[in-house]
Amino acid sequence: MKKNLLSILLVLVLAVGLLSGCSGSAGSTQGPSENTEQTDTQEEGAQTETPAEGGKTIVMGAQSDLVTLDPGNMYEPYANMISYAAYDMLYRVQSGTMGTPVPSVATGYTLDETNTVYTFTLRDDVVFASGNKLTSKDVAWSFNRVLNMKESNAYANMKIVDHVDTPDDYTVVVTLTEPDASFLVKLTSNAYCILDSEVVKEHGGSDTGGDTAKSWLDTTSAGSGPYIIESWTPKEQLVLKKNPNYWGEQKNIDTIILREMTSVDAQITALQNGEIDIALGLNSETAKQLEGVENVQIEKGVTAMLTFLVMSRDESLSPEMSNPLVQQAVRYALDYEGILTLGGEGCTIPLNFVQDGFAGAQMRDASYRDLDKAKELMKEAGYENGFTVTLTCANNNSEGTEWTVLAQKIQQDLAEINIDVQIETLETTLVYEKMRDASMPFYIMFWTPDYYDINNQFAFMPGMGDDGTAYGNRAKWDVSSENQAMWDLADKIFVEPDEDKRAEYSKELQELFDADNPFAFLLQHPKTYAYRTDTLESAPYNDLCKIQLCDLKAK
Amino acid sequence: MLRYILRRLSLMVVLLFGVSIMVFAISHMVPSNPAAANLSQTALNDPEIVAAYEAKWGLDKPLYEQYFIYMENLLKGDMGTSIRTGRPVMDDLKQYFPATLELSIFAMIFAIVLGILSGVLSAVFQNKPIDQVLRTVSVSGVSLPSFWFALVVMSFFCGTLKWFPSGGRIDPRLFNPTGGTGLYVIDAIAWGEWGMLKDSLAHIVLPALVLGFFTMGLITRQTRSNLLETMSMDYIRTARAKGMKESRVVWGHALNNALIPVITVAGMGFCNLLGGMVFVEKIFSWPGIGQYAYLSATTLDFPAICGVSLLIAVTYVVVNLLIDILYGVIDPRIRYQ
Repeated sequence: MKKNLLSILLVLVLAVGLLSGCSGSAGSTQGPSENTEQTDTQEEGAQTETPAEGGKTIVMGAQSDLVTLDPGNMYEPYANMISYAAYDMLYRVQSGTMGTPVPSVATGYTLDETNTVYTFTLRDDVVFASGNKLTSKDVAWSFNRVLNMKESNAYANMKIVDHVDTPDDYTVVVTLTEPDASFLVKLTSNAYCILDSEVVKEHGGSDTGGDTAKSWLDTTSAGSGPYIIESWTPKEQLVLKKNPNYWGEQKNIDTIILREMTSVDAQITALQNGEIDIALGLNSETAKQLEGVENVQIEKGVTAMLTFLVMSRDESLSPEMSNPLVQQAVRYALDYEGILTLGGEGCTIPLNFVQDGFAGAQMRDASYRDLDKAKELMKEAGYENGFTVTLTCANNNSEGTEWTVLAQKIQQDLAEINIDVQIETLETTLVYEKMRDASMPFYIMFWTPDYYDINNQFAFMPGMGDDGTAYGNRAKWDVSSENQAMWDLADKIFVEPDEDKRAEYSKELQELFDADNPFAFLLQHPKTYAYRTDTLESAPYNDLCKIQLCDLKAK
Repeated sequence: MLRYILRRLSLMVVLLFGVSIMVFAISHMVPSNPAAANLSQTALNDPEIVAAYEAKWGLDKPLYEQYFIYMENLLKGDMGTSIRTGRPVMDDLKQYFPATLELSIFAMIFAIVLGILSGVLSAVFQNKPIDQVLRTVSVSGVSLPSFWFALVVMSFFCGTLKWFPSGGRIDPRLFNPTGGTGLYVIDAIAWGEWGMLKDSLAHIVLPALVLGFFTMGLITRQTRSNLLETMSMDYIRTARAKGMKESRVVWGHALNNALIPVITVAGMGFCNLLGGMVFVEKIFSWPGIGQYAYLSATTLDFPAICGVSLLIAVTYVVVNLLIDILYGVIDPRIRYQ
C-alpha cells in the first residue's frame, strides 16, 4: 500500500509539474487585486494594478479578436478602438463621420505641386505618457518602423510612403511613391500611430528592420493618447487607465475595461444586470431582447461592411455564369427587399462598390427587381432554359447576417430565372484560399476597407496579375477597351484632392460600373450595440475605431 | 509499480512524437494557407506582403523542413511562435490552460461527488421515487446537448434569477489577477483574498455544472448498476447476516468494489470534458484552451495546433496513468509489473 501511495504521489507530482509548467510565471507571487494602487514597475507576466479606486470605470463587453496591441501589427476589427485611446496620429477621424480626417498632433499640412510631398507642422505641446516630448523624430521613427515590417497587415497602408524627413523638431515631410488623395485618411489608421521612440527602442524597437518590440507592446502602450494600456490578458480583459500626462482635455473616465465575452446572450444578460456598460456584439435580431429594458439605449452605427456576390468571368469555371449578360440578369433577379429584411433594420443596398459615407456613394432602390428584364437577358445570353451553378458560401456572417441564410434566399430568387443554384458550404479559411486561387464560379463574400476612402474600394475594379486589383484577380475580370473608361475616372479620383470633384467622378464611375461588372452588391450593414444610460452620457460610434473611447462620457 | 510508471512515461515520448507527426501532416493537408487566413484582403493581394509573410513564418520551406525545424525547436523546449497571435505558443498555453484546467477540475469534482452520491442513493432506493428522479436527471445529463443546456442555465440563473454573473472568470471591475498559478480559486486561497475567492467561485459554478453534467450522468448510471450488482453478492449477504449496519455495508464494503468501473468512466468523462469545452467556454466567455484550439484550427496556426495537441495528449496520458494506479489502490488484487 505504501508503494502505491508513493506511486500516486509521483504521478501527482508529474501532474502538478505539468500544471505549473502551463500556468503563470514561476515565482510570481504577487497578489490579487482588489482595487489596490498602481505599481509602475512590473515583471513580465507579473501582477499589474487593478481598476481605479473610487474613479469611474466603464466596462465594455465584446468579442474583439484582438491578437496584438502593437500598432505596427494590428488590423483586427477592434484594433483601432484601442490604438485611438492609447496613441495619437497626425490626423484622426472626425467623430460621427465615416472617415473624415481632422488634425490631431499635426496642426495642418501643405502639399507640393507634384501632389507627393506632404509637409506637416506639429503641435509643440504634445507629450507621451512617459513625459517625453513628441517631436518629428518620433513620427519618422514610427513610420519607418512599419515600413520595415513588410509581413505586417499595417504595411499595406504604409507602403505608399517613400521616405520621411524631419527638417526640425516640429516639421515632418512625407514623400509618397505616387500621388494619393486618400493619404490623409490612411494617416488616421493604426499603421500611422506615433510611438515614443526612445521608450520603444529600449524594448527592442527598430526603424531599420528586425524589430522585436511587439511582445513588449502587447503588454502596455507607448503613446500620447488619453489612455494608457495598463494590462491585457488576451481573450479575457484589457484595462485602459487615464493618462495623467495627456496633453489634451482630461477625460472623466478613469478606467475602461474591455471584457471579452464570446456569447451574445451573455453580453445581453450582463448589460441588463449592469455587469457591463456597453454591449458591442449585437445585431438587429439579438438587440430586440433589449428593447424596452430600463436604462438601456440601443444604437446603430454606420459601417463600411459590404456583403456581395462574386460571379467569376472565368469561362472554364462556368461558361454560363461567366457571361456578362447572365451576371446582369442575376442583379435584376434578386429580391432586394427580401434581402434587406434578412439583413435587418439599418441595412442599405449600395449600387456597387462605393459604400454610403464615401465620395459619391449611390444606393440601389430596393424595388430594383425586374424579372422580365432578367429573363430577357437570360434569353439573349442563350440560357433561357437555365443552367446549374454552385454557389460557395463560408460558414460565416456579416454583422450577424448568416451567409447560409443569404445563400438560400439567392437560390430561391434565381430559381425564378431558371438558374439552379447548388449551395456549397465550406469553412471560411478554405473559401479564402479558393478565393485567392480564383477557383470558384459563384460565391458570397464580405469586405471591410483597410482605410475609409473610395481609393481603397478600387479593389473591385478590373485588373489582373501582380499589379491587378484584389477582386479583378479573384473574379478574373481584366482591363479591356470596354472598361478602360472606368479606370480613367478611377485614376482621377485616386489623385484629386478636391472632395466635391471626387464625388462627381465617383458618380460617373459607378454608372459605368453598374452597366458591366461581375458582382452583385447585396447589403451594407449597420453595427448594432447598446449601452447603459445610467452610467454613460453617450457612446459615439465610428466604424474605424468602433466605440470612440476618447469621446466616451460617464455620468 | 515505479518501474511501471517510468515505462508508461517513456512510452509517452513515443506517443508525443507520433502525435506531432500526425497533427503536422493532417493540418497541412487542409487545402488552405495561413496567409489567406491571417492577412487582410488588401494585403493578400499584394505579392510583396504575402512573400514576406510566408518567409517570416517559414511557410515557403518544404513541409519536411518545416517539421524538422519544429521538432528541433521542440526538443530545445521551444514550441514555436503562434502565427495568429505572434506570441510564443508556450506563453499562450500558459495563459489559457490554467483556465481550462480549473474548470475541468471543478466539473469533475461536481460530476464525481454528485454522480457517486446519486448513484448510491439510486441503488439503495431502487425503484423508489427518489431513484426515478435521479435516473431522469442522469439520463438528461447524458442526452442534453451541452450548448443548449448552457444557454438555458445561463438564461435562468443569470438572466431571470440574477444569482450568478453572466460569464468570464472574474469581475473585471474588482479584480485583475495575474501571476500565481493562473487557477484563480487556488490563487485566491494562496493570497488570502477571500473576496476574490468568492467571486471566482461564483463565476465557475455554472460552467462547471454544465460541463460536468454529462459525466455526472454517466457516473450516476454506472455507480447505480455496479452497486446493485455488488449488493447481491454473497459477501454482502454475509455482512448483513453478521448484523452490520446497512450504511456500513453500502459505504464500507459494497461501494469500494462498485467503484472500479466508475473510475474508468470518470477517466473517460474527464477526456470527454475537452470535447464539450469549446461550447461551454464560448457561452460562458471562459478564456480557456478550447477557444484557443478552435481559433488556431480555423486560422491554420500550425505551431499552435501542434502545441495544443501535444498538451492534450500529455493530459490524456497522465490522467489515464492516474486511473490505472487508482485501480491498484482501490483493489489490492490488481498489481502492475
